[in-house]
Amino acid sequence: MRKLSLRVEAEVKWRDQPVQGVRNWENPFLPSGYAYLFQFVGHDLVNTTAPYSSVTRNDALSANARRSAMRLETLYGDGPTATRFAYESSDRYDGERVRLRLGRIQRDDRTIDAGCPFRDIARAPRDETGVIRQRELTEPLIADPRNDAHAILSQLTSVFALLHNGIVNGLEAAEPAGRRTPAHAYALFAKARSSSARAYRSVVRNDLLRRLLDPAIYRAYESGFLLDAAAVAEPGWKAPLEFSQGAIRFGHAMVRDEYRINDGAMNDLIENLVKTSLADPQNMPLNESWVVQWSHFFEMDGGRKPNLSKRIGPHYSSGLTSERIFPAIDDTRRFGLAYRDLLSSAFSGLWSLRSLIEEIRTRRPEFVRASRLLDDHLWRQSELADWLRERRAFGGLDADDITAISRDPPLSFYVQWEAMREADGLRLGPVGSIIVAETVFAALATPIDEQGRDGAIAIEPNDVGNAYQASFERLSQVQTMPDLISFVRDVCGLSHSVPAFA
Amino acid sequence: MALDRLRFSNIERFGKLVKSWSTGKNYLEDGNTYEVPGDIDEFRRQNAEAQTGAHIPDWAKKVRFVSCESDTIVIRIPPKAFIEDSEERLTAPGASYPLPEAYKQAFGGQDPVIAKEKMLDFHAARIGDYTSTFCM
Repeated sequence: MRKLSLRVEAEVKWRDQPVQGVRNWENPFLPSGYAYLFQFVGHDLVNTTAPYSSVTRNDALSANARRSAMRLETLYGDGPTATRFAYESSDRYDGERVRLRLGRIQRDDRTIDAGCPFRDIARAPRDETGVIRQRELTEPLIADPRNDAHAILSQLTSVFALLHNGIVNGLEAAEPAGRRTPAHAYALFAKARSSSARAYRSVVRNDLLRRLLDPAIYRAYESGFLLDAAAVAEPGWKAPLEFSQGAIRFGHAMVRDEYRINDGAMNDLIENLVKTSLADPQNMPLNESWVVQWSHFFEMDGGRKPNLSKRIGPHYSSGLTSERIFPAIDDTRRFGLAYRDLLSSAFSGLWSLRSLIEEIRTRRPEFVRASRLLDDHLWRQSELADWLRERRAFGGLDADDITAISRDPPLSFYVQWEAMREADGLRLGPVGSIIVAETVFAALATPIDEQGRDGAIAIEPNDVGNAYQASFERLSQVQTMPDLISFVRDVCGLSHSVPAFA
Repeated sequence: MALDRLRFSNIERFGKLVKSWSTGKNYLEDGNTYEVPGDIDEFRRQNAEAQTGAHIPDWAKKVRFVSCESDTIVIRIPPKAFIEDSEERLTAPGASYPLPEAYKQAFGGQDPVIAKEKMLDFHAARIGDYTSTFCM
């Protein structure tokens, strides 16, 4: 795996772009925000205490502890009673909480004033040493601390928190002023959560997956097909390892080395990766230069060209090879994310690629027939071997290595390689598409809330204050990430926010 | 479109690679042999092996190594387009100065705050520094 991780350091020779003003390695059809939305979705599907690359196969730490999928558990945790620290305190409901907690940003000169908006996740200082160090905000007050893995992701998390809080604003506006009972708090929270989750699911189904998947495979799953529908019907369905330790890793290949964060700030990937409470507590909360203006990450109305994802292929941005962020984890002294992804994929007991293809063939033969890489094992092996030989100086793969890898490639690597070969890096190839679709569409088929499928907890027009009526009509029509961001901007009064919200 | 730049995620390791080329001693202590590369492909390969985290832009087709004697002053004149690109970035509203992480770590971990009106002076100082300093 060490040698293969060096082989994928050789940059991919992409074909020329059909779109002017776009770099060769950029994907003109996939703004960068979708890479991070996919990471957020990954956290909503899979929650392991420790990464596979650092534990043994049967270690309890590597089990997926996510109990319900695609219900924004990554945002809400176990709700305001059990995950209390993630919720804003309130006197209105006898101590019960309904809003997710957010934190003020700071100015670029490291000062904080009353005009600094609540656009960061909430963060707190540690006090276990007995001395509270106010300037070191080491503790992210969010249900899933992985969502503070870097600044762009924590900013995206704050968008979903704002979505929930904005819905609460609209619901509270229809209620009488003054104190309310805890029962009101529970009902209001449940409605806001259910509506947020529905909007989120709609974006994932109609926008994210449509962009990432092979069109024919997307159409099949979108119309209700699942390879293993019986598994979804069983209680306790969880994302398969082929997703969590294999296919999901393609997201890392979409990460750029540099991002335009807002109109005034262009920042490096490495800076992004250390802008967390864990790595950079003395510089928290996020300052203005790290507050994301979402029109730089999604195609919003203004026509601004957003940051574009890298085309998907077997190559990661240099920032993901940082020794400080991804230090060596074994005796090979190899650091970086590519090596970790290969280890996770190769040694976590996944189905082999060949077995996976044969299983797909028995259930949906036309998917296999549509791609010679799937249909013809010998041809695929020969194509893989040719590619591995091309830049042999990188990693020094010998003939035995090339034979072994081409016969049984680590799934994470194959999904990236296949996207490069079958889709020019613009979306996933067939195997990647099927694994992602099988997992995410299955999760989308699970009940959205405790009351039943499709959300029995619905918001009726009378539930919403007059000032919010027009905005809430758009909530049920949210289909894309720009729709969701526009709703949040309006319902949270962020149209004139500084730094700009969208 | 802003210029794509040569950059290193592990700048210390690149520094060790340069020291290895200069002295013939392997500062990376990884069992590999590093000699001054003959072309850009070899430069890419050695950077991968040395784990410098190099991003070598597509526009770079050649690499030139300047070895100098201790009695010769070498001043590297940067390309005009790069200086102008940097000036444009640094004078944009809200621009921050992209200093390598190692500087921040050496000075207590605080993000450096460089006032907007001092940004181009600092830029000039950096250029003066790296074009004139020999290995310090």
